[in-house]
Amino acid sequence: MNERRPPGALLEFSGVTFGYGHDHPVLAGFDWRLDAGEFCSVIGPSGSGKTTLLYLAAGLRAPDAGSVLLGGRPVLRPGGPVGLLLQDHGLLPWYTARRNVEVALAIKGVAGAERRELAERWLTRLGLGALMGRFPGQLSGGQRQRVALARQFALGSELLLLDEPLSAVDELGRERLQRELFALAREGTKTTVMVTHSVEEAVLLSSRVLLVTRHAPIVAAEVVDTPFGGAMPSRADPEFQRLCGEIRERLRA
Amino acid sequence: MRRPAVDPRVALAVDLALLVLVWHLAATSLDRSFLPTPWTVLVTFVSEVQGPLLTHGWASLRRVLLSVLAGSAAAAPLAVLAAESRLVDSFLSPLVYFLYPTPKIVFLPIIVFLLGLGDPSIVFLISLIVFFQVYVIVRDALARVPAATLDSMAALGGGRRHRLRYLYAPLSAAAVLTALKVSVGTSIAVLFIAEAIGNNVGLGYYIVVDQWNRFAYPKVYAGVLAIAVLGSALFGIISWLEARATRWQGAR
Repeated sequence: MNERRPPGALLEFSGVTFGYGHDHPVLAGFDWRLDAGEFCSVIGPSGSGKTTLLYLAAGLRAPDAGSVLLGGRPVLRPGGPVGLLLQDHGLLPWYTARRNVEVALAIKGVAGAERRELAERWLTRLGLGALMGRFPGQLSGGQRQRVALARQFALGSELLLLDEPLSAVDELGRERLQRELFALAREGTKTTVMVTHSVEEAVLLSSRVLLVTRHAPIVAAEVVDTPFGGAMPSRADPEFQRLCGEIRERLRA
Repeated sequence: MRRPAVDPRVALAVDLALLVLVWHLAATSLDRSFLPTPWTVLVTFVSEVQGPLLTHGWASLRRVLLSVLAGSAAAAPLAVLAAESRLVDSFLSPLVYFLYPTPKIVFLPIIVFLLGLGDPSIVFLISLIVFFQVYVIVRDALARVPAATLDSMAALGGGRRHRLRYLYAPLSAAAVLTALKVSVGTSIAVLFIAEAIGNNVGLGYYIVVDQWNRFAYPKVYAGVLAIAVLGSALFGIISWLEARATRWQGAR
C-alpha cells in the first residue's frame, strides 16, 4: 500500500455503461480519469447517479459494459486499497467509536496491537480523544461523521470515496471539518472523490470538480479545474465566487 | 422516557407491602380455609421449599432452561441464515409468520400423542414458543440493518465470515434476549398447564394435582408463590442481560 505510484491515472472509467434496470441507464459510455493526488468533487442533482460512480469505483457494482481501472488494473470486487464512506456512515451501532475503527482495520487484515494504536491515533486526530468509548447513538451527527472519517484515514486507503461526508454537520462544525478534510486528504498524496450537494464545498476543497448536469444517463465528464493550488481559498476571494457562479450556471443549463 | 417520581425499588416494596396487607385483612376477616393468611403461606413455603417444592421447582426450572436453550439454538441460526439467503428467507419466513400467532399450547395433545407424557413433550412445547418468538424478533432485527451498513462492510472487503462475526452475532445476541424477555411469561404459563395436565413432577403438578386436589390450600399458595418467584427471577436475569447487551441502543 505504501509503494510509490508513478504519476498518472489512478482511477479510469472507459466507456462505462451501467443501469439498475434495462430502462434506466445511469451511465452510458462514460469516460473519466482521475490522477493520483487529486481531490475531485462530484456535484449534480439528486438521483443523477453520483453515488453510483462511487459504487463502481469501490467495486460494489460492476459495469454492464466498459471498464473501471484502478492503478491500471480492473476493479472486479470490493476490498482493494479503496475506502468508501457512505452517507449514513455505516458505523456499527453496537460497537464504540474505537471498536468501529478497530473492526474496519480487522476486516482489512491489520494485526491486533496495531489496530488499537491506529484507532486511537486517528480518533484523537479528529478531535474524538475523549469520546472513543461512546457508542454511535451517544454521539452527535457531526461526531459520527468524524468517527467515520477517522476510520477511513486509519485504513490508509489510496483512494478515498466520500458520499456527502459533511452533510450531517451543522454550519460551524462544517467549516471546521472542511478545513480538516482539506488538509487530511492531501497528506501522503491521497486521492479523493467526494460527492457533495454544495457548490461552495466542491470549489473550496477540490482540485477539480466533476459536473453531472443532466439527469441520467451520464454520458460525458464535464470537468472544471480549480486554480487554487495547494491552499484552500477564502470564501471572499473573487475568483472563488466567480467559479461558484460559473458552476451554478452550468448546472442549471 | 419519563423519570419515575419514586425509586422503582422503593415503590415496589411499598406496593408489595400494601398487597400483603390487603391479603392479610381479607384472610382474617373472611376466615375461610381457601384463603390462608400471608404468614401461613410464608411458613408453609419455607417448610415446603426444604422438601417437595425444591424437587418440583428444580424440575420446572430445568424444563424452562432447556427449552430456552433449544428454542434459541434452533431459531437464531435459522434467522441468520434467512438474512444471508433470500431463498431460505422466502420459504421459511412466511411459514414461521403464518404459525406465529397460533398459541402453541393447542399443540399439546398432538405433542403428547407423539412424544408421550413427560419431559420431552413439555420441553418441546415450550421450545416451540421460544423458537417462534426468537425467529421473528431476530429476523426483523437483521432485516432492519441498513443497506449502507452492509455496503460499508463489503467495501472493506468483508465477507460472510465478517458479517457473521461483527454484524449478525452481536445483533442477534441482543435480539435473542429481547425475544426471551417477551416470551418468558408465556413459557411459564404453558409450563404450568402442561405440568398440571400430564406429569408427575414440576410446579404445575405440585399445585394442581398434588395439593389442589387434596384441598391443601396453604400448599397451593406456596406453589403459586414458587412459580411467581421462578418467573420473576428468570425475567429479572434476562432483562439484566438484555439491558447489558443493548446498552448501545440507549441514550439515542
